[in-house]
Amino acid sequence: MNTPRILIIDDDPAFVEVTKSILESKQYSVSVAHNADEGFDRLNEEIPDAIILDIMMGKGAEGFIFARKIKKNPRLAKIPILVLTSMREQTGFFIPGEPIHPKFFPVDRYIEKPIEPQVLLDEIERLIDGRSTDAANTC
Amino acid sequence: MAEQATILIVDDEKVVRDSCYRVLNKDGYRIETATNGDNGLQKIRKAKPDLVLVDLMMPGMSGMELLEKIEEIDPNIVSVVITGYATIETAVAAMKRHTYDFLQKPFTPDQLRIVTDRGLERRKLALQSARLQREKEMIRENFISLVSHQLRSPLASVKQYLVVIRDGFTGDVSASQKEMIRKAGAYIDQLLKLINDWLDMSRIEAANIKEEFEPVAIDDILSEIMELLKPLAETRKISLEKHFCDGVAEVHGNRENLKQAFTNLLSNGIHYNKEGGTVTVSSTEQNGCIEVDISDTGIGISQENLHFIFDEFFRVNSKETRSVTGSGLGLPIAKRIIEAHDGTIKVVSELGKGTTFSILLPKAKR
Repeated sequence: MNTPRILIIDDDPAFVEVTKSILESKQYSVSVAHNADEGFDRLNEEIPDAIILDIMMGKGAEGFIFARKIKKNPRLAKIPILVLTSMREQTGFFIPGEPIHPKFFPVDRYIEKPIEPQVLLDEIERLIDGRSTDAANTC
Repeated sequence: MAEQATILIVDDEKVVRDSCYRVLNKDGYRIETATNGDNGLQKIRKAKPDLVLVDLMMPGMSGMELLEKIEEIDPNIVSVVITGYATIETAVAAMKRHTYDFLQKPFTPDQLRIVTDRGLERRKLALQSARLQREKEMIRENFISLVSHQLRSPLASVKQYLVVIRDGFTGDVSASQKEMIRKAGAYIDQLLKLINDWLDMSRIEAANIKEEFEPVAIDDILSEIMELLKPLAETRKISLEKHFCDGVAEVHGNRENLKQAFTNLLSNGIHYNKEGGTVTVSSTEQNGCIEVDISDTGIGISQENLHFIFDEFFRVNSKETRSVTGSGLGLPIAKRIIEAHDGTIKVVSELGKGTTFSILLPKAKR
């Protein structure tokens, strides 16, 4: 596969810049959307090899709704999604001892902000490699 | 309370209702009347009165029963009892149902006026204080969310940028630059920890955490924590010892909060210890309580500092403590958690010898 294309959807410009520079250093081609609507615009232009999605966007968890919509759209359902959560950072609320990611919507992988560059790269690689074998699951 | 106060008169005697109505109507109140308890209850739900005059002797639902129901619907509604047989017993019984005042039949218009005026004044104060309480809570909650959003997000972003520079994604970084970035990151972590501790602290309110109480085996938590803190203890050459009582003593509590409290105490025992020292954790059962003692052989706390160690942000400033970073919130958080479990925490310490924290928690009833 030549230069895999990654779409980042995150309303936090600092994280977008950081994530972008990490991915571009490893020859990924990166496009950016700052909210869910822009995200759908990008998806209409081209289908990326993976999506990096921040769930806490806008007034609440706009990312949740976005992920759900994608997984219900047959054209987009197969795109693997890496979810960035900053639930604890953003809200200060978390349940100790329980996975940060509640399993109420189907995503493929998730990592917590702040991100470790190597973890991000590993996760993205795993998503793109595993894409052909993983069946898109829906809830 | 609306501009015009609403008064409900519940009495089966028409003559009492009518005379009260005449007196109070002249004073500009909105008046509702009911002939019995059931009818009164309906009107309370519909008209939301500020004050209710209740006759104790009525057919059907008794006045006492109605008073209880009023208390359930809105404890801020002021109730006044009308009674023809004012005895000490009825007075006590009614007062137990939060009745505000009495009118003994027969009463004069002036007596009625005085009692209602006073009652409505009380209602006004009660509503005001409820409003202030609500405002206070809102300010507190807004402040919590302000802290979490406005302080944490920028810090997280700064940290993220540093990581990317450190790992060379933006160009080569020299060894000394890397070291400085590492240090800057450590300071940011310290700040984030402080904010997290402070948030934890604001969230630990007895009322909040009690909702999630369950039976918790204290010895299990203590073993778990000791396992978690083992690496830290090893790097500081501290040995951890445990002496647990037999049997599985359980408390009724919030597992995660208790874990946090004991973690704070144990890690203090490790941090403020001397090389080669010991932290001993023991638990005993007595008189329906579980006592947990956490003793260290560390630097100890002087008598003058001992009074302040549970104060927020207080830290002992000495040669020995300088190398330990902390927010000064570990002990206040532990204390708050223990007290939210109806427990107590005590400390004895001798400078240069060590410190022992004793925690008493009520045992869970089986």
